[in-house]
Amino acid sequence: MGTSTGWQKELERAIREHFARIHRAALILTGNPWDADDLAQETFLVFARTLDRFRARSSVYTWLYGILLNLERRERRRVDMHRRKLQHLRVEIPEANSAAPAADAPLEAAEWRRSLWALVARLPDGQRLALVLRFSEGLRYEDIAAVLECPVGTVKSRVFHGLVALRKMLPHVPEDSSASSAADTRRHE
Amino acid sequence: MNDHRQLLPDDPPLQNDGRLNLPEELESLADQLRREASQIAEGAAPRVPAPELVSAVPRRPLRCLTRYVATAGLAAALVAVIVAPWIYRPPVNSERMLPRSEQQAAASPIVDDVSPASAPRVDRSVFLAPDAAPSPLDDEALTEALLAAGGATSDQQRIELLERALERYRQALIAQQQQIQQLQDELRRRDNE
Repeated sequence: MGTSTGWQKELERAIREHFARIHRAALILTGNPWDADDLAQETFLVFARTLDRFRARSSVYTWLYGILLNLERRERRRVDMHRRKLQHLRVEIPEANSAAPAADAPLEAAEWRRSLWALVARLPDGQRLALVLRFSEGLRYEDIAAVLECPVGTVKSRVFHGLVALRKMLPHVPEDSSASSAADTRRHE
Repeated sequence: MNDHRQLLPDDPPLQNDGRLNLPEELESLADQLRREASQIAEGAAPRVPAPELVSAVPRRPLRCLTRYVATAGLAAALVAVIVAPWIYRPPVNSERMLPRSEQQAAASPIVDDVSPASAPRVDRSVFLAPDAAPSPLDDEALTEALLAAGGATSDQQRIELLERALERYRQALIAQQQQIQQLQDELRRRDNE
């Protein structure tokens, strides 16, 4: 990574090998392909800028996941703050309320909106990210701990409590029905 | 109706070897998450393929060059700001050395021209003494002393040089004070006359 050519090759290799999985994680996190594209690309731009600091302390993909999650959290905070400001304005101007969806309403893929991942998005950050890395990305608990920079036991606890919280979000259904149909029923109501 | 959500444990069920042993209900939920993640990912391919992304990332030499130029510009500006006051010195206004009556006279020379004979005769040269004859307190002498001290080979020599320079300045200061005293005496004497 010392020379320009080495740096470029390293970057090209990282993009070639990991872009698809980073894009997939971004898609699960954001729920729409447009934001996922932006987020994945920004992740690699940040990676390119910080490649010098990457000293192989972790795998390239855990480093990439770390960047992705940081960017996603930052974007989420920004959007939440923006939405709160808009809500405050709507309270002050009642005429602005209408039946039409708000301009700042997130654009989500229909498939994502119908899935359990839309419910996962409502969980606290720690549980949400642990579930994404575990069940969407299939990372080992040790890798998740490296990405989230916390002990493995904490990761297991977050995964477990995340699933419990997700289960509690679903309506109670008879034992023979699947969780998927329960989620669908809830959303169609 | 049996609410099986109440049956879930409060703590993560870990096995003796530390593995997380999810209850069946949560395991099926996890399976569903895996399935749905795969379905979502299949439905949305990245719009920008990887090769195009590589070309979008600026090359490192160019980024380095930009950074160096920016840093050098900033450093040059900083040096200029620090050095400028030392290079530029406003010219000393010799009129500031004159007494107020002389300044007024210089500002309105007509007063002197009206009755030159009746005006008190003042020897202006005595007031211009500091400008006319450079004193040992000028900057040149100070610079010389500092340079000599800077060129010293040892601390002892440097201290001696500085002490010598300080002694010279002390004596020059005393001489100048005496000169001022003499001028004031002269003025007082002329006023009495």
